[in-house]
Amino acid sequence: MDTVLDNETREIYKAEIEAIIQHDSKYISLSPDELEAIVKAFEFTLTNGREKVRAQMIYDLIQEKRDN
Amino acid sequence: MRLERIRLKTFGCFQQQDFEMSDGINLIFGPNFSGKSTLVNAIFFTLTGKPIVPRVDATAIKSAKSYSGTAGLQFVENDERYMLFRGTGKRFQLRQEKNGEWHIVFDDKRVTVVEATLKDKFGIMHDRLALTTFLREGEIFEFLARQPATRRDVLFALLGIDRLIEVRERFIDARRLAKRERNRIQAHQNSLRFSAQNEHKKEIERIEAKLKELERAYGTETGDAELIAEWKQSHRQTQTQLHALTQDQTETLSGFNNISHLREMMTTIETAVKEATGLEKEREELIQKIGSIDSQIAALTKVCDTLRSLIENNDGHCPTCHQKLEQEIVQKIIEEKETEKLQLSAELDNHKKSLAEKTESLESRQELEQRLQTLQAKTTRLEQLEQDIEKMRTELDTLTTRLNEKGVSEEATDESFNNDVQSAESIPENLDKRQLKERIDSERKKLEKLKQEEAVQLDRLERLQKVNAEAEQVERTTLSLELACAGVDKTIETLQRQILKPAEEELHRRLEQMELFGRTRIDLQKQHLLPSLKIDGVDRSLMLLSGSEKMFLYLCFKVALAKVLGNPGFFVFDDPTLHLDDERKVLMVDFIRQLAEDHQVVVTSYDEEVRAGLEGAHLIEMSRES
Repeated sequence: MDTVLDNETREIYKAEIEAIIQHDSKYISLSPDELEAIVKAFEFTLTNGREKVRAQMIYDLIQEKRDN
Repeated sequence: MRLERIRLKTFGCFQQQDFEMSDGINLIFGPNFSGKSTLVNAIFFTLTGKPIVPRVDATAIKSAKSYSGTAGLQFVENDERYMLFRGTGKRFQLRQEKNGEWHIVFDDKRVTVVEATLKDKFGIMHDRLALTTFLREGEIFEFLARQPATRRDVLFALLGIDRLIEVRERFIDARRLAKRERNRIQAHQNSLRFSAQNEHKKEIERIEAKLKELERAYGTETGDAELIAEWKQSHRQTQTQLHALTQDQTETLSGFNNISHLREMMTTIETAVKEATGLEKEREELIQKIGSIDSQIAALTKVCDTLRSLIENNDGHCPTCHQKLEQEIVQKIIEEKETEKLQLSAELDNHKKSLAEKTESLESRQELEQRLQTLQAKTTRLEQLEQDIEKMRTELDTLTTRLNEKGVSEEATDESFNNDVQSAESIPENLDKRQLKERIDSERKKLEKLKQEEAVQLDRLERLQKVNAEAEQVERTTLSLELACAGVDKTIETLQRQILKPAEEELHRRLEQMELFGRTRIDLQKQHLLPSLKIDGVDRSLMLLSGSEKMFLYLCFKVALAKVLGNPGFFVFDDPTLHLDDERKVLMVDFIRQLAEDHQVVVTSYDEEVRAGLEGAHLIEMSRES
């Protein structure tokens, strides 16, 4: 099952986010860079696990990506 | 994984005993209290380190009078033979057969290390094994009675979704951070917001107007009045200069609409001059040709004259050789030379005409060149003038702005300085200048204070703008994190659906095969793994199914989950025919036989009918005495 997660979850997550944006107009203002940052944060947390990833890291990851 | 042997030592009711297993169906048959369930427990314990019955301590499954018990399992995995031993005191040993000898490959007592090794090497996990491989007595009712949250946790652990749950929790924490940051920024915004800015501005304007009035009344002695007078003078001078420059510009532009027009004309002339290059050379060539023709004509005239004189003066004899000349021949030569002369004269006329034309063109070109030089000088002059005018205008604008700030209108600036002085001097004599000065000073102090306050407020405004920008950033981060959380929820749903859908289909297929119910529809997601059953379109509570229906449904559910989640390759069912009537026993035997086509199956029973039904199966006979 872990293999399934590792191989497919990222793609599923990306697709789900795109689907949510289509249905909920409040997210439409988010830029492609911001969406990329979200997916990146997801991958980062999934790969490194809860023990190693702190909430501040995710916050910074999303904020920094946009700032760049 | 194919089980070959169970080895027990002071385990349950057994002191030391081995049980051989075979492929296909293994029937552990015997009366109550003969140790059938202990064997099932031994397999489960060896693989997971826990008794099959939940909430029971491992030490409780050793023999009553022993210090500890050990269960062992010999099996084949990927064509390799292994032996697992696990003691109730947590000791764990894994051996592997190589060349007919057993070698210890792992020996440890640390639970987490042992579990991780089993998971990595053989894919063995307690929850997965309990749900997909083993059936123990009373399990169905416990499963049905489980809290939805517990079932959900088990499901997520089985599907590997627990990792996603952790991701979601971290995202929620990050979102909390963003909200906290947003609150902090909002508080900062509130502390910086102020409404008095406009009032300050109005007050400053009012005091400035009052001050101006007082200063006017006081006269030109104030610093401002002197400054204004200076500015006015500069304004006037600048205006005069600007006027002169504009006039100069108009004069320079005479005959042209603007500088662009002038440049266009220059381009045209430049082109014409360029086209006229080479005229001098052509003229020189023509002059040379004319000179040459003139010489030729002169020579011919001389020749003709000489020939004529020969005929007329020397009695028809040559003056050099004194021989007689043929007059007719000489006359003919004279005529030929005359004709040649005429031709040359015609050519000369043409060349002279061309020369006149070229001379005229050359003169025109020279005129154009002179005109171009004049225009170039004009352009340079105009460019300079434009720059000067622009400079003057800027200076004038600055002065006008300064004067406007001081409340002096543009019209007023046109008045002469002397007039200002005269009006300032015309202060009524009854005004107390000292009091007026004091009031001016007081108003100035007020104004200075207000301006200082305004500067502070402007600084705050600047900070507020920065904080607003920060707030917008945080707002977007919060939105991003909200989307991130929603995305994880949706991903969990999708993954669950993707993984459980095949299990639902398998369960449906098996139930239809048994023809136990009518047309069924199964949903494993709705109630977190607990099958939601629809029979002939009607919702059917599992609690209201008969005992046998529950048993069949639950076994099919296990097999379906095993197919989706993975299974060691065998099933162990502890007395699956308990409480079944004869007809259902036959159905169960059929189910086991069908399952055994692809899997090794271990079944316990005390029922003779089951024994008869499973004839041909590997029989492990148990008795109370053994």
